[in-house]
Amino acid sequence: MTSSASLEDSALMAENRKRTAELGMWIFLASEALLFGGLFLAYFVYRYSFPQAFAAGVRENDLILGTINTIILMLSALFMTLGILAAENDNKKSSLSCLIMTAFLGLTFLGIKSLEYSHKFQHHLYPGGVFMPEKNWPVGERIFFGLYFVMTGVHALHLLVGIGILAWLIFVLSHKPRVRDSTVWLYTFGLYWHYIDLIWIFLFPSLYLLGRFG
Amino acid sequence: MVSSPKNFLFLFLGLAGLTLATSGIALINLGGMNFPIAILIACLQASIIIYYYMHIQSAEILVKIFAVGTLLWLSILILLTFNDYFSRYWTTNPSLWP
Repeated sequence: MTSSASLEDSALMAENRKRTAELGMWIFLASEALLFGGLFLAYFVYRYSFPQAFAAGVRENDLILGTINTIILMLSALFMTLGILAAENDNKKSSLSCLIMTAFLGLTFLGIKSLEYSHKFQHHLYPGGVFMPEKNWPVGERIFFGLYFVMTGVHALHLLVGIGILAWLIFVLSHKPRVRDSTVWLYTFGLYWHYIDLIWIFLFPSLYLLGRFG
Repeated sequence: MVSSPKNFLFLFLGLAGLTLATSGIALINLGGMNFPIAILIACLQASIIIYYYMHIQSAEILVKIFAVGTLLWLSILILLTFNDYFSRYWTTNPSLWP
């Protein structure tokens, strides 16, 4: 009798743990939404004040690299979800390989991003220093690229932290006999990972698309 | 509810297709429509991610309240600020008054 009661208790506790972890992550993501919301607000306020300069800034960004990076992040979200599904089925090998693929795609995104950063520095498209003396809208473009570096930088920092936590999760999971017990960890982390994807979905049109025409 | 790997693969293909579409549309001159179309596609992609990947449809009510609350605070932040910016010159230039 006691054993069945304690089994029920532990099942209830596991369910409560999942609910608490999920809610905790959503509260964190809500505060993050206001952080990025403030950056997007600054972006659109300045875009409203300097429309031509911001359109010129958008045209300086590489549309092909931006599109590839967007699809890479979406692919990483797919592998994250497949990793969680495999963990729910207690398939350790498949789960770990999916998570490693997720981390690898995250690193690929950062690699392409750093390539774009190096192009920007080569063309002096960064705030401070000698800033594009040949450009038509020096003030607005300075603000555009200031916001570009802050927004993509904060996003890349979140991704970097995510990859670090993911590496730690992969390490912990590889030492566990049953990955199914760690589903709550993966599920909660998955929310954060998809959230990074979500932010990029709005950064991409703001920084790469809007203003190529119109 | 989407829970099989195959369904998530279709979701990914849909998201990637929308990304290619929005990049392609950005290269076509649609005048004033480029901006709303890009934002609309981004919102569609975001909804897919929140609904299916972040499991908001199967989350409990408290989580849903936090998700909706986030949108509410964000809309206050953005709408009230732009209410100010769009109406800032109305008082100095009466010809712009509605």
